[in-house]
Amino acid sequence: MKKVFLFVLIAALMMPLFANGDGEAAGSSAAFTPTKDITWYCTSKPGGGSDIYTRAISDAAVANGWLSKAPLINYKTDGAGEVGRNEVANTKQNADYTLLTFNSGDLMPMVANTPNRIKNFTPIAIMATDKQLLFINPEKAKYKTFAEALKAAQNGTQVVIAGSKGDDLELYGMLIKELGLKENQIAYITNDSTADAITSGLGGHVDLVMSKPAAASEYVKAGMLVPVLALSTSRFAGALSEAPTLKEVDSKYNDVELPVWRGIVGPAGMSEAAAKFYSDLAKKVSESKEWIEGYIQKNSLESSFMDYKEAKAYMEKYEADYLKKIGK
Amino acid sequence: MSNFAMLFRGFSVVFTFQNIAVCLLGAILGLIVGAMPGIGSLAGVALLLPLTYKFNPTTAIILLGSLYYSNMYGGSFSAILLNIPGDSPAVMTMLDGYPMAKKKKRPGQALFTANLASFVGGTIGMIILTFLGPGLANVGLHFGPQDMTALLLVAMTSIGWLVGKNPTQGVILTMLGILLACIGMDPQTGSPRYNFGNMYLMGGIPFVPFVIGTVGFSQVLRLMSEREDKVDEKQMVTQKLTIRGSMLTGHDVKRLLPPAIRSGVLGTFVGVLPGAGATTGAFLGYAMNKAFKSEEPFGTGAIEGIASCEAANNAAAAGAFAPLLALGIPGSGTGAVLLGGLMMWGLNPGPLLFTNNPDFAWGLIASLFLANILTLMISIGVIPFLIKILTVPVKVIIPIVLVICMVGSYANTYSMYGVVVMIIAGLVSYICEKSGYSTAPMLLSFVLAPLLENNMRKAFITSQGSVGIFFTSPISCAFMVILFAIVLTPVVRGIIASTKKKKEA
Amino acid sequence: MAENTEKTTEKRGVFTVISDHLPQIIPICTSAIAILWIVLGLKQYGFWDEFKGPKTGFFPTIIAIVMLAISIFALVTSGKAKKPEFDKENWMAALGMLAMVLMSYIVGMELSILAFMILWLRVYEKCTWKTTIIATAVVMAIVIGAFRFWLGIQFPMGLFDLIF
Repeated sequence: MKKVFLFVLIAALMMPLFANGDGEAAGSSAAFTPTKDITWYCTSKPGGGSDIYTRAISDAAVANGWLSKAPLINYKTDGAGEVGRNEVANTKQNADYTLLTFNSGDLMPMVANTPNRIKNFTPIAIMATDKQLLFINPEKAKYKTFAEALKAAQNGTQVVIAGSKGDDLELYGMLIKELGLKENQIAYITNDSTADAITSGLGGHVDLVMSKPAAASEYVKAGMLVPVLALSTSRFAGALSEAPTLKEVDSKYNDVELPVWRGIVGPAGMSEAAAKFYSDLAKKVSESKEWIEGYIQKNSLESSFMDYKEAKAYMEKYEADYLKKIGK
Repeated sequence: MSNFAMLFRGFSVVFTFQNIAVCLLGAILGLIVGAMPGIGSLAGVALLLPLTYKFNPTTAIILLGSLYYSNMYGGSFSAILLNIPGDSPAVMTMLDGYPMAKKKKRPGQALFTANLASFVGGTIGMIILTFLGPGLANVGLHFGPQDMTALLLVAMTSIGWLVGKNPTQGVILTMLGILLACIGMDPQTGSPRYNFGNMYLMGGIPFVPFVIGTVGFSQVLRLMSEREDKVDEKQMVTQKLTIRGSMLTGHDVKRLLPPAIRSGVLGTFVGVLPGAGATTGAFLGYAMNKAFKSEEPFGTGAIEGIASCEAANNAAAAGAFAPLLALGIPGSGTGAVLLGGLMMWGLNPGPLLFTNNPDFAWGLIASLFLANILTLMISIGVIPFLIKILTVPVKVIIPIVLVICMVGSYANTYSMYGVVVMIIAGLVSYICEKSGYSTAPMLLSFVLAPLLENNMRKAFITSQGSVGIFFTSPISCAFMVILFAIVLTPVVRGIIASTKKKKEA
Repeated sequence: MAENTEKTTEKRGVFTVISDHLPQIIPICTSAIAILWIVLGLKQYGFWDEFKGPKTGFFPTIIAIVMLAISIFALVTSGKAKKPEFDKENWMAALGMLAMVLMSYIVGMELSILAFMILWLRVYEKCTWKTTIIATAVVMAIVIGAFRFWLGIQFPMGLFDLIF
């Protein structure tokens, strides 16, 4: 009796293994609908920008009933996020139920510091893009326009820009290359966050502050920061419209921009049907009121949706361009 | 004086049933979160944030604000009772809190001191915040990278106070702490540094598991020698400790007030500075007060020791609200989360917050005063229960603490990486402590080094490599002078003493 | 009594040699770390940039040089240092922690904690069932109640992760 009991027990415990297999096999042939919990990886701390972005999407999806249950957010911040990205890339089982918040600011250090590449992921969507501007502190700035700062730099006085790490640092490199200047003519101070960069600007310790519209908008409203250069191919809207693009400052230069994109990816092992499902879901979210009013407008972002096919092409090109730039 | 009127208005906002209830809830949650090693205000605030979506903004910020603030009270509990800091600001509290509880057998008084000092420090911080808030925030702005560097250099020298009997060994560990802090990413270039190709190390060594291991785990290893032979079950039940038994004598209170007041003022200013938070505040408060007379030497269970860091960390938490509310600049990770919350509730953090949403801003400040009082009352009320923990036989405490060390380290990094760091740090620290090395300086240099290096490099970028920047800026120059004074004084004294000897001989 | 100490020192031969020389071993280790940091700092990370001032390796290298100097000093003067004495029982706590961590990979952290508490208190410390159960209940309440439910931390499930 005991032996029979044991056998039945073991068989019962093994059932889940088979149940799993069935589920996945069925899913890949027909249209995908999630039947299990979705795990959404976020590679930075809760409360930060990526977390707010992730929750905004998930909240909009649940509020509109497109997802029956909110995904489980898994914060994997080890190794500056690389461990989490690596885990997702290598996820084979449950690949259809694994999502990852992935931004241009994540891609750049990933390909620079690890062997991980976009081909290890299934791009699902790009939800929003962001661009930067340069600002001055009107009370303390030595240069009231970018043209003045540029002239000073060319004449030998060092001009200092404060910005955040990652995207901003990259953009700075592109800017001085376009201007034909060296790092000591226009210098860059890297800060952990844009808030720190703005702080140093308000204190008059730097000449220019690089920031995305969201972080700077309140200061512009209060008159403590004034935009002087739009790092984009066209001027920004609203209170930021007074800032010229680089070409407008001096027509011999081309406009410089490095759009910061926020996207979603899944593991390479994700099925096409699942990718399409999440892509369609993301599209619906991107058009939803909750998303547009609650996230895009609040953060002064550009809503620019790309579905999974467009996102894949875009991310791959972005990666290729970046790899060439850093010589890999 | 209009600030005072605004504060009154703030109180009227606070004294609604809902807001008081929420303030109380935040205070209690903050105490619990603060007392648990591995979880700090950041996790507590970040995880409660989504739940507050439906609240009105004022109520929500009162909840989170009082949680953040009372967290500073809670951190001292486990520091004093178990020698394991509940969060990083409590590391200093542990240095005098635990000896006072264990060796001097005055655990109730230690807890009371911590609570009272927290109250005094926090109140001072809030008063300064109320009257000088925006101005204070502007002062913080004036501190450029070169000024912060000079300030931090002075702070580093005061680690010397903590080094104890054997300066050689103390300095070695201080330097080691700095080298460990350099593992991770270079803050200016964003490239990995000293990570030996390991992906986990690329993110650096996480501070909280490092502290838990160095202090907590190694402490447990030591505790194994202190186990009693028989578990006296009766002992666990019959010890009845009352609040009265834990009260401080008038003399005690007189001893704790001066360091608490000094630390309160210093802590507030430290909280206002960019990048410096409650931990730095607690440390500087402790270091500064060591220079003053105290009845018992610091580190042996002196009331002055506990008071100086507890007051400072609460004051720094209050002070951190100044740049947050006045300028929309978060002074720390928790501040950044609070900012995110503000945006979520439809408010715009920034320089216009006081002007556009005065009820909100002053309601929050008023609620901090309320949180201060509520937390003090709860903390004191809880003392007898906390002391009961001490009556639990060491045998039983050991496995409980082992579990908490592991869970706290895991929770901090959401992975086993924290646990690994904790274990290694603990083993190494145990061996070092047994060999006479004191590990406290290592923890402090670990915290201060990134701030110091980052600011120094920013200063050099601005000055294009010239050292002059440290002397042309007035604030920086002042601190450099202080630095030279501190470093040269013992040398000069030594020279004078030896010339005197020569003369006499 | 003298016989006892003789026996125990004989048993712990290798370890006593190590612990006796700790006052030397520690500075040697820190010197090694310092040298490693210096070499990496100078060769791989760069020291000083003419425009930007300190490079990646500047600060760590300087600190490492100081640490090396003081470590050598400590090594040289370590002859008079007290020789630390270790007891086997202290290491039991370390072993317990390691066991608990390793078990987490198999049965998941929560079950591992449960098993650890019961085994430690009842089997190793020989406490009564009453003490064991109360302590275990308190710990599980904190771990599951505070950490898992309130703070939402997902603990590893060990091999169960592979099944579910």
